[in-house]
Amino acid sequence: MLIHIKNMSVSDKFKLALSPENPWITKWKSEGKKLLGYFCSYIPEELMHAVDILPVRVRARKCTDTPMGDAYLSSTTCSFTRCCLEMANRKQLDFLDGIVSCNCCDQIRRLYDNIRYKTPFPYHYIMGVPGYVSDTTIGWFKHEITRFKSNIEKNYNVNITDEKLKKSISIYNKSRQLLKDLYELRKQKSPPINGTDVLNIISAGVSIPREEFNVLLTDQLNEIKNKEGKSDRKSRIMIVGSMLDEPEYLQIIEDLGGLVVTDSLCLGSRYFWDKVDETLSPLDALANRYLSKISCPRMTDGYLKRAEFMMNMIKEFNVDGVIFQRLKFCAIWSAETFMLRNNLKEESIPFLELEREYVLSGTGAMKTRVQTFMEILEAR
Amino acid sequence: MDIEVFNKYKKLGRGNWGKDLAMWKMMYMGFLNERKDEEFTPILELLFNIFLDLPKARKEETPVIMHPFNYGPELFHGMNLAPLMQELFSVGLAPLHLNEPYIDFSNKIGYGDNPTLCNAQRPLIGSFMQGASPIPDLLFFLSTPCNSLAMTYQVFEHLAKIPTFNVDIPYWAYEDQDNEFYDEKIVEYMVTQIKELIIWLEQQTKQKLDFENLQMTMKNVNQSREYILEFNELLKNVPCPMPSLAGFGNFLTMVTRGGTEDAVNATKYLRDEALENTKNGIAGVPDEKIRIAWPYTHVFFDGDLLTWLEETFQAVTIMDILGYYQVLPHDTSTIEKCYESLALGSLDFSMVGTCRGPIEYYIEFLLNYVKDYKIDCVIMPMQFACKHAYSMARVSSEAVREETGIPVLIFGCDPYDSREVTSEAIRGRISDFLTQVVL
Amino acid sequence: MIVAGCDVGSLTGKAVILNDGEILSYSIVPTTPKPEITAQNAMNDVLQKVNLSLDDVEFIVGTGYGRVKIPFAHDQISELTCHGLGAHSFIPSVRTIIDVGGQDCKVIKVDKNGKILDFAMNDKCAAGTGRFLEVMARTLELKLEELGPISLESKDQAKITAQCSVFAETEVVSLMADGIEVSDIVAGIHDAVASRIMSLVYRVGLEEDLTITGGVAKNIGVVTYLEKRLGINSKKLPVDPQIIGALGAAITAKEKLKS
Repeated sequence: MLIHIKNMSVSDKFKLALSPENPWITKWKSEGKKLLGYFCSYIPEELMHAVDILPVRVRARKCTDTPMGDAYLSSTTCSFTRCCLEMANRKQLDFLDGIVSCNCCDQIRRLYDNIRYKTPFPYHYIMGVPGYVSDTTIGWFKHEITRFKSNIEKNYNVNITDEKLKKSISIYNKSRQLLKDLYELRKQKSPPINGTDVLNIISAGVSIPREEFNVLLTDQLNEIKNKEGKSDRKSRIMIVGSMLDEPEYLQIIEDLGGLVVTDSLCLGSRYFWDKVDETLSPLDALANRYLSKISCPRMTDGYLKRAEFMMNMIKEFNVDGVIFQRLKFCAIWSAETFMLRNNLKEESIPFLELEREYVLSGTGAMKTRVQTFMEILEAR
Repeated sequence: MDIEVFNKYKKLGRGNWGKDLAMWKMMYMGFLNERKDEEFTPILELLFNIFLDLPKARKEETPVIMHPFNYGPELFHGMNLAPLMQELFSVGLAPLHLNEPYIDFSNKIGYGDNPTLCNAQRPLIGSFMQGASPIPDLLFFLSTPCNSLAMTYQVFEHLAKIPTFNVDIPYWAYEDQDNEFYDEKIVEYMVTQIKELIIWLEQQTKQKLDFENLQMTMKNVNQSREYILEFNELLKNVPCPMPSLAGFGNFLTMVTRGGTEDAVNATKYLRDEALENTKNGIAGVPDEKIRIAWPYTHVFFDGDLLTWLEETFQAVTIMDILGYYQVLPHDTSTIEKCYESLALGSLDFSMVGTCRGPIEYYIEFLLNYVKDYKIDCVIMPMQFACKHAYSMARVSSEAVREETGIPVLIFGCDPYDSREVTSEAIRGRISDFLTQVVL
Repeated sequence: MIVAGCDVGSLTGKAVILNDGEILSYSIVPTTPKPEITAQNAMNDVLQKVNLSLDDVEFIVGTGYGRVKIPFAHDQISELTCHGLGAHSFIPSVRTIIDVGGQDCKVIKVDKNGKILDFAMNDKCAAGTGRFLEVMARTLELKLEELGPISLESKDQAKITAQCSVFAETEVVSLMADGIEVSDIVAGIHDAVASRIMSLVYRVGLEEDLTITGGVAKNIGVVTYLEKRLGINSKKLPVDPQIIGALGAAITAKEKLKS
């Protein structure tokens, strides 16, 4: 544990950890250890963790404008990828020792190519992730994972043994359980924690060493477990969408009268909902869990399961309304939202669709829409 | 064409084709009338057959299977199904400007908007909701590489409730020398999926795969591929013996009727044309001055664009990315070999081979294209909604300039919607480029 | 019971005073860079008209883009909710409201009580808003108020194809150079505005009765072209359509005071 922050409150520690360049990372690097930036939750973090490489989710929070990103990725690609390329170009991602990507979507995989050509890192790797789930594709994904494993071993001169993998899997499964417990508390009528803080926690979690995250999260849970939640009646909101790592976005919604009680987000429920099966051999277990977990819509066969997941969440968490958010130009979420809203319409569940840019700015338009939506919910 | 031939095809267009084929029939009659004064070539015969396949399938109760433009349908032909290439609807309608109402309707119902989802597939949803799209019995699509395509087909699957099968195209090429894990493993992976596809088809259609039928189909495919490879070789001559984008006919042949006899005839016909012209020293574009590489799709709504380039600048556009069909013939002596051939065919298919993996695959294709075909300049009309292509454009153009020094033009447009970037605007850009940079 | 609503918009500030549910007075003032000043100006103006002071008003609700900055407001709600309530108070049968303002346009679906069911907004670009018409008026060297009537004189409407108002301006300049009739150009402009608004209507779905609020509702050209595209007539409001937002805020003030 970092000495100088020992006396900080848990939630302040999480805020400190929010930025990818935080004191934990500074300490990690000062010990000569490596960290690799990764782009998608389909990449098995345990593989890197097993050999003391810190997997850090790449986020481009500091980016304000994207002239280089626009030129190389075109201005009609998602702003997240453009911001990443821009930050890499401005050397603001140099604290990373390398990047690991996958072909999760067209924009991410081209980002990887552009980074290699224009703003290279000392180490690059990209995994192929199959587009649907079957025994055959899980077998192929295991193959890809094995290839990634060999590549790390060769490049860093390490050995990723089954022993080490099992240990890492156990530690990551602990996080998944702790986060599940955290979400359980949000089912209450007056949850002891709001959506902004939860997003803060998970965004911090992908930026610091996993063992320390588990300690912080355990502390946080102990703190709020028996705490009285806020009792003023607010509309209970579920957020559905893709890469959202900006707690300020949820803050706006919660300041306007919504309480975010659950979600389906990359850095939300989809991150931890399914555990890795510790009874299987580690590589089989990783291939199985990472490919067949509650899916991102980039998987082409999981729509019915995802719709069911969303509807169950709404029931279990007593959700009043759903807010869909997506990055502008995202083909995958545009089509997914088009389908999901029909499920909500059938059950007469109110929803709001928001498009956003990765960098939060000009929030007036968003506030008007969200406020109107809250007023609609309150009038019901 | 002969009046008898014309009347024969006109007669085939009569009768009730079925409610969902009303638009399809209209397209057929329009196409037939437009080509009335053209010579009746095997290409034309093939194009008519593409249309006529559907009402024939309905009459014979053959299942119609819809598939995307980046998958060759030889397996479906080999199993006596009637394949329907979905993008014919948008590509075929684009030059007639009949695409725009379906794009608008898709906008209206809130299904995406221009730069978010590709307009090659989006009109499918608009036209389906308006009852103008043919409704297949089965749906097949590749879950990778293109997100937009996969999403639109999924939406169609759930709206129309059609049984669907996915195949996953791996990110890597099978000749990836970078590591020893791949060469056989990739083909094995694809073959396993193809076998699963065949089992699924057998269940859905209640028919068993006839190996001899499949083998015959694959032999036809091989023959067509041989003709195409010869044709491609001939295009390397200076001057080019064929007019602009002649190779697109080969692609269209293989993606709609690859494996059939009329595909063999059509590809032979094109090869013979090219051979004849080469022997007689005939150039596709008289006084050829500029050879253009066009490594993306044609601007479909502007049917006259390339003719205008020929007439104004004596510029021949050798091939577009789809017409650059480079699949090799394979051994098909046993059933296992046939499966392998199917696997390799889908991995190497136009646009799949070049666009599914790291950018190096595309750059290699582009550099080979430029060098082999003695290209003078490259024009890349990138589609706004095609993220994986537009995000490659600049880096690939830099690679081309560095390695060969030839100039590259990149501009954005929508090949299916004439209102985004108009014909005039596109011709203006190309004019400026050719007059100021190339000449 | 005297209540008031104050709507601080991007181009104008509006205020309405209600006495026992009847409109006592209203005012429309030009906007200033500071929303709190615009609000003060609107409020002072409307109070002065009926010789009242701020203390006489029992409850004030703010709305509009500057709603959080109104110093004397007891509460604030979104302008969409306000337009719904305001329009409904005059036309209880209204179900769809199109509000075309200076810098945005909205389509609002309400139920039989004037409560919002659904909405769609365009506030990302000028196309389909008052701003677009202002720019065009300047380009054509006409007064903003003249545009509507001139558009109705057109015999052969010109087509403006540019999606973006910046490019549309270039298109208009080139049409003028080609010698196209001004009334035909103006007709094309109004049809383009109607077309942009239509795309929002589609998102929400049209249900009768329809009414149009906001400053641009006073432009007979936009109303005519919109009605033509929709295939129905809109119900006209008996008051200045620009004050509907402030009126809805005042109605909300009355309700909050009651409870």
